[in-house]
This record gives sequence, structure tokens and C-alpha cells, in this order.
Amino acid sequence: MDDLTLVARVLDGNTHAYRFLVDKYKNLVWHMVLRMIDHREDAEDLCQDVFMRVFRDIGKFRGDAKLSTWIGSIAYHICIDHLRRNQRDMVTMVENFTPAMLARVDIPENMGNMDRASVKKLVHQIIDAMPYHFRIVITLFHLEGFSYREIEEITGMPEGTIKSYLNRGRQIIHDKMLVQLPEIKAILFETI
Amino acid sequence: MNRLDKRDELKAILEEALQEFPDIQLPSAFTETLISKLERKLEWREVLAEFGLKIGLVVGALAILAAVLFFPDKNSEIPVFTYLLQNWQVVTALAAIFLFTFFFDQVFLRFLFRRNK
Repeated sequence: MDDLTLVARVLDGNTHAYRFLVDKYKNLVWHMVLRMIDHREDAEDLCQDVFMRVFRDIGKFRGDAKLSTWIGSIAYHICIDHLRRNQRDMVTMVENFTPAMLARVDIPENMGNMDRASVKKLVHQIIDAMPYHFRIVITLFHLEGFSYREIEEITGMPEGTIKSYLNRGRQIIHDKMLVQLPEIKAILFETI
Repeated sequence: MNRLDKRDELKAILEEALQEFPDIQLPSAFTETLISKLERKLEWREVLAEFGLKIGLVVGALAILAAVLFFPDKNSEIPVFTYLLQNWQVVTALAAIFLFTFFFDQVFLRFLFRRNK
């Protein structure tokens, strides 16, 4: 079922269509919200708010963009509003951010073993410790597979900024891994 | 495994990590909870809309009645209006009781019954 047909059915009051829409896009919304909001209970409530807003505003969807982009944009703005309302002092803004702030990433004792799961866990911890701008751009690009253009539509950030966050984000991950796991330097980054 | 192979493997792991999400799932009942929340909201909206429509009908009918009584002879005094204006406290109290009872019956009770179904 294409986006416009799905939207038309939801507008007709078909709850099965709405259920289908929720099932189709709930992981996208969950990933975005959880990456931006640290608190899990709040994240669940916000996911519900996102889909309630989707239902309320679905008549405004014209099909100019993909439905996933439109829903992503709603999720992004609801999270931004939530952060501004509740966590103003806790949010690290990009302009104030320095990689040294990632010192709060705790490395488990057995990280020296370098197994696959541990490295991935470390990467996720590093991402979680970044400002939300980095987190959301990395999530949308790498995890959800959106293009720069689509991320621009979702977040309103210029394409250059998105590319910059992606590059800086990757660099931060590399740098942090080097600091935390110096033993991989010889293997991973010596020729970079 | 030589160093180049290890490097490629680690880079692959990094890419994989970026394309994966920590294993934190939405509650399995998320969709059901959301749909029932939405249905409750829609029911509430429907009940309120019906209530508004009924109140509108009553007020509209009274307004038409008043117009029918008033317009044929604007200068003469209509005893009903005079009586109502002189006893506005009683009229207001009766209207408030009517509105409350109507709201209780049409909105509150219906909403409670639907919710308990």
C-alpha cells in the first residue's frame, strides 16, 4: 500500500489503516525519540504523542515528501519541544560540546577482549553521550537510511550542517575509541 | 588473522554498530494502547459534539420562538419576556440545572458506560 492510499484510508476513519501505519513507522519513531530523549518512560509517552499528532494532522499530508519523512519531522519537533520544556539545562548544545565531555562513557572491564558485541556497545555508548544533534543525524543517516535531503526535511538543518555533524560524529567515535581502547589503535587507525 | 584483516573487520563492526540500535524495544502492546487511547479520545469528541449540537438545537428553537413572539409587534410588551426578565435569577438557576442535568445525562453517563464496555 503506497503512502497516499494509506493516508486516504486513515482519513476515511479506517482504524485498521491507522494501526498499519503505526506498526509500519513505530520503530522509526522509537529510534528517533529514544536517541533524543534519555528517559525511557518519557520516550514511550512521546511516541504516543507523535502518533496522536500524526492522526490529528494527517489531513495536512500532501504527498510532497515521503510519509516516513513527514512522520520523522513530527517526531523530531515533538522531541525538541520536550527537550526545551524539560531539560533545557541538561542538554549539551553543539556549540558548547567538546569531545572531552564524553568522559562519562564508562568502559566495561572486559572491553579489552574486543569481542564484536563489546565494540558495538561502546559505539552506542559514545553516540548516547553526544549532543542530540549528532545523535539524531547519525540515527537518521546510518540506522534509518535517510538521504541528506530527507534529513534536511525532517530536522530543518542545512545539508552542509548535516554532513558536518556526520563527519564530526564519526571522528568523535574514532577518537573516543582510541582513547578508551588504545590497543586497537595499531589495528584500526594506524593508516588513517 | 593478519593486521589488515583485523582492521577491515573492526571497520565493518563499526559500520554495523552505526546501523544497529541498542536492544531496547517498544512495549509489545504499544499499538493496542495507542489505538484504545485514540478511540477514547474520538468517542469523547463525538459525545461532546453531539451535546453541543443538542444544546444548539434547544437554544436555536428558543431563539426562533422568541423572534416569533417579538417581531410581530416590537412596541408592545410581551408578558412572558417581562416575567423572565423580572425573575432572571430563577431563570438562570433553572437553566443551569437543566444544562448540568443534560450534560450529566448526555455526556458524563454515556462516557462512563462506553468506557466500562
